[in-house]
Amino acid sequence: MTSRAFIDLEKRSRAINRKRYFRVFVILFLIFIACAFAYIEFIKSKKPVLKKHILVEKKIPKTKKLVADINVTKVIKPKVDKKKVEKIERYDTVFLKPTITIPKIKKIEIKNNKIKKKITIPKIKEQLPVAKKENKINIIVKSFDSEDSLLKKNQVNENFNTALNLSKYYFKKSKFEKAIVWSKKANHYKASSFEPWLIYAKAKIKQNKKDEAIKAVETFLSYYDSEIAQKFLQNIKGQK
Amino acid sequence: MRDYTKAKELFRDIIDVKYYFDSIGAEVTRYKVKSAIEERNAPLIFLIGDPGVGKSYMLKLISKELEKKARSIFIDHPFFDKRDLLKILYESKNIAFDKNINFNNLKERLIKEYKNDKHTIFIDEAQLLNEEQFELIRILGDTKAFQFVLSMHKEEGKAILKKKHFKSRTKVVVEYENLHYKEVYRYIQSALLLENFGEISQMFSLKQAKKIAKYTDGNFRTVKKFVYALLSLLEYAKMNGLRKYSEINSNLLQMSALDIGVIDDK
Repeated sequence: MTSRAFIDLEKRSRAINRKRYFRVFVILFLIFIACAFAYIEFIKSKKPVLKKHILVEKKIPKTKKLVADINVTKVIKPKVDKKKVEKIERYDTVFLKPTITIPKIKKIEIKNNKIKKKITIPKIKEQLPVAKKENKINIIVKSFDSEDSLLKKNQVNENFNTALNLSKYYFKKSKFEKAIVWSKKANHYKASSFEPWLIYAKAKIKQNKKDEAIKAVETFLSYYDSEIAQKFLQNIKGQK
Repeated sequence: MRDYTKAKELFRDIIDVKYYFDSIGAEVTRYKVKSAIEERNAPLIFLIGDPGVGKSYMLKLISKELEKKARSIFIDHPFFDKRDLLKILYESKNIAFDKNINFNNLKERLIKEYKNDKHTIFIDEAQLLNEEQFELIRILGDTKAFQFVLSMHKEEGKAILKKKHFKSRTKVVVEYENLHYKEVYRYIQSALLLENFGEISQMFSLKQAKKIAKYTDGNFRTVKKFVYALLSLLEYAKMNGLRKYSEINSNLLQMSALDIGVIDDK
């Protein structure tokens, strides 16, 4: 064995080792990449997935239109109590409480031995609930009731009557904007009562917004069958 | 004292029947060939195996063992003319060979001469014989006066066996297997210990023997060449004071493999 041959073999052996280490490094690197990728995928898969039924948009039954959709009214804040004002503001967009669901009824028609499916909505009036019979509605507020006392009562126990009384009070005092606000609030407590609607409609008439008043009464009548409301509507339309 | 110079000489690629390594493959082959010769029920015995597995050694060993019992002729080189075989057979019977005589007459006379005695003829590297020579072997085999033991490389041997000369003939085929790594280890150990190189034999571990077997594929000749190259490297390292290579390590094994060309680095 000559030294030249030995050195040459040593060099060649080192080169082979280098290649081998490089190959091992590449393999390890690829394994690392694969593991990292698998780990990321695993972490991703661990994230909570919204249940299918949550993702599916809930079928919302057709509900009553809100008066607020028909008429947008600016709220004038009452000066008495700031807390009260905040409460009132919360109801300024809610007028009629949505309670009635009008189901869609499938009707199957057969023409020339072919089945034709038709989806029809029944006439609203056929299924409308009858509004509670109310005697002649007059907007009466007791003379000794002051704004403060009415607001105080409302603050102590807020309900349909207190809100309606305030609405009537403001109507009498020709503060129509406030009357509208409180009528909406009263409606929130008892949607089937025509009284808040009446004050609302009268206030609108006073503001020279007859169309909006007619629309509101018509909306009420589309949900409830009420003779008083019907007569009132005819009355307004006659005036028009 | 590690005398690599003398130790490496044990692994030179020469056939010395004095030293026989009794590997499982060698023992099985030896038993099968000897049984076939003794039973004489097949005129043709084929010994096939990878080049360097030890076929030539085995052939020489068996022919030596048979010399005492029966007539055996060992032909270690391929003959180029079909008359060469007849000449060898004539000479072994001390009969004058006249090349001017017609080939068929030579053949008939030879058969007559050999009819009473049974002869075993060993031919090494038989894959180098041509069609004519194979045909002659077949004819002589059919006389039952001759029994041929032909050693051939595995791949070529399998192809020759499919030829028309031998396809339908009664024959015995013995395949010589390569060494297992434990046999490689035992071979190195026994070869060194036999010549009192105990210190060097201790340098080899079973793990290293496994690596040698892997590099050499368990081929007997290649194992010898490998160990020879390894001991040469150790000898150089010792002479030049390279302490890094004072013991057998993976680097030295790799360098030995490169030296004998069993691994390709290009």
